[in-house]
Amino acid sequence: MAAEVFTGELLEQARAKVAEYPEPRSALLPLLHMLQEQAGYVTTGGMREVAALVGVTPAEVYGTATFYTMFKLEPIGRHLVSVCTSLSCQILGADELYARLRDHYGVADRETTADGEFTFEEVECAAACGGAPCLQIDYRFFEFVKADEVVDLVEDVRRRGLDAVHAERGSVLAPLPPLEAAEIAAGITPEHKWTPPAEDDA
Amino acid sequence: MAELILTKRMLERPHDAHTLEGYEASGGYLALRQVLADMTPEQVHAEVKTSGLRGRGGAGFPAGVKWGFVPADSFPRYLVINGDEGEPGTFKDRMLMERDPHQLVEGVIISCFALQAEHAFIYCRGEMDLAYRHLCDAVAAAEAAGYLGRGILGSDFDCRITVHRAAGAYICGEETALLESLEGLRGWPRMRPPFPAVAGLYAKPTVVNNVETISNVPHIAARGGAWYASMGTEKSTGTRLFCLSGHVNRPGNYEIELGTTFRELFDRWGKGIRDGNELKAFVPGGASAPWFDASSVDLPLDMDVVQQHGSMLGSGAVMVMDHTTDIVRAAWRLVKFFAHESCGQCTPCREGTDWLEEIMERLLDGRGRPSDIGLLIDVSDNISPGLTWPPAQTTICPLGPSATAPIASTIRLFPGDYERLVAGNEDLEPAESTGPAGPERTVAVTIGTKPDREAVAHG
Ligand SMILES: Cc1cc2nc3c(=O)[nH]c(=O)nc-3n(C[C@H](O)[C@H](O)[C@H](O)COP(=O)(O)O)c2cc1C
Ligand code: SF4
Repeated sequence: MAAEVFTGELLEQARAKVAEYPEPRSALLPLLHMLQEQAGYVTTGGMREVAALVGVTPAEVYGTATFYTMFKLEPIGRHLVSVCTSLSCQILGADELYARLRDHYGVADRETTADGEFTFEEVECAAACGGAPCLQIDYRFFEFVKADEVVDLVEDVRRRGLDAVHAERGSVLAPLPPLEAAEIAAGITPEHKWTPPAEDDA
Repeated sequence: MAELILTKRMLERPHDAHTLEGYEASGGYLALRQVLADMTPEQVHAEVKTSGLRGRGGAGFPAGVKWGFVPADSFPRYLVINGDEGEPGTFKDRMLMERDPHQLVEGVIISCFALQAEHAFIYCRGEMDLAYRHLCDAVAAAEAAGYLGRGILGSDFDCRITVHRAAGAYICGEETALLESLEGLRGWPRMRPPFPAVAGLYAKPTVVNNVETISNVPHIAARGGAWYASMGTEKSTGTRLFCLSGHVNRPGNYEIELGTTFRELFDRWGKGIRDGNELKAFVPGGASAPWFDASSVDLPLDMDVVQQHGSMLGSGAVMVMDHTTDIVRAAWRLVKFFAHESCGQCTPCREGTDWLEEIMERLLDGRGRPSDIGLLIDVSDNISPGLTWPPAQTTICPLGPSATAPIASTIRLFPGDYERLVAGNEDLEPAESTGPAGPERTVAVTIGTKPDREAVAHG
């Protein structure tokens, strides 16, 4: 069967990835990521190609792929909205937040809106508990999301695109330790400024 | 007040700490230069030992001691960085990887030098898209600048780093599952022994360390193990990132000298409980840690002291709950997490966590039976016999036993919260011998002896 996903430049990239590892099989997850980025989800034909590239059977690729929640075995919407409902988010209102989304769009967990725009999923801790409740859209973080604003946030992405909305309303970088200037002045940052180690004080 | 070590640069240069220029302009890669010019691998290893640096991934094992387990004459050997951060409540490694990736990369190179490893892997949680990109950029920039590759900075030391993007599975944070995953397999924890230090990645000696652990290494190499050990307590040296979340006014990552108390963490750093509410409970170290109530706030942030009091600092995730919190619902959420993340290899974990989740759900739905509280303890006891601390293990990895921590500790601390949910539900109790066929029956049969709650659930 002729390759359909891994051709041309992507094939080069895939081969380079495989070469990065002492054993080709280690490139399985990275190649599945490439496949999903290219095809939108992890397709059966694509998995066969991955199998050939890393030297395992298609069944082994399938067995691995199904273990990991990020790999979608069916097409999903243009944007993936992942709402964290783990403990810190839960006690700050994540359940309500997620219910608002499902109600508004009339979808259940892991379903896609009829227009194919958004897929919603409930996820385990997204590692943004300091900004709870949080969600990710296509793995970009939005923190301190309010139930009253969450539908507007998602609609904003539809209107203006993810880049613009994330830059304005999302967490572009993980939040810094939330210290105030006065605290820093009071000695929370070091009294000593960093001094390069001298040549001979090993 | 101790100085900040890991978060200093990102606070001082929030806009460019993650770039090579920003990193070098604030002393970056000087430690590596110094190590390669003046030190032997053994000397670097000795400094890390002296520093007392303990693993920040959860278990708190001394890094220098772990490095010493690598067999002397076995090559190649690998260093693998655990950046799979998924323990509920933990969000520090993401910050370190996004905001100061070169600090980690320099730590990896120096650690590889000490370990005489020439290839390292950074296993980055898949959902952390930006962290992954910043790590890739940092590795590429370090290569271009000659800090990675062949003959680094004119020495005869070669080293390369592969940044590996994971794909969503909490269990892959467990170090042997991580290695399986890195080999392209399902993330199934391995039986030990052999330990990874002896036979890890591709059955070669492999050291697995957490992102925060290794981010400390450039500082220890530059300023000496004794300097690092002068901070913190005798056995919990240095500073640590605590991920404070939940019902505090100012959640966030705080780099704090070990030995400070929880009270100070909540009041001084967290600026108190929200809305002037009262503290009801807190999780001192991630989802796997037994909970504390307000009477434990004066315990120090010291790994051994917290351990003696029946819990752990674990991954540094401190989750705070005020008096309005539905404790049973909160505990259920963590049980649901473990049930979802169980890899399914071991029967007690696979079956037990599912049953715990379902029984908790029944309680929350108002369908709980008075005997369910004993049943929760009994099922927990089957996953981790005796419900001791640290937990006894009937399983390949500690995930299963961890699932019992939130249940056993909340039943012990807040029995009234559970009893309220089943009060008046005596009529839901199944008749002694005529339970329904199917799964429900199976569990009812296993009850056998109903353990004394006080004796068993001592957390
Ligand atoms: C279920 C489970 C999940 C874990 N998740 C992580 C994790 O996300 N990050 C981490 O660094 N360690 C995690 N650990 C601990 C690792 O197994 C290992 O102890 C650690 O990475 C070693 O690094 P350290 O000694 O520097 O802490 C986990 C352990 C278990 C049992
Ligand atoms: S304890 Fe649970 S997660 Fe760990 S190996 Fe067994 S089944 Fe898998």
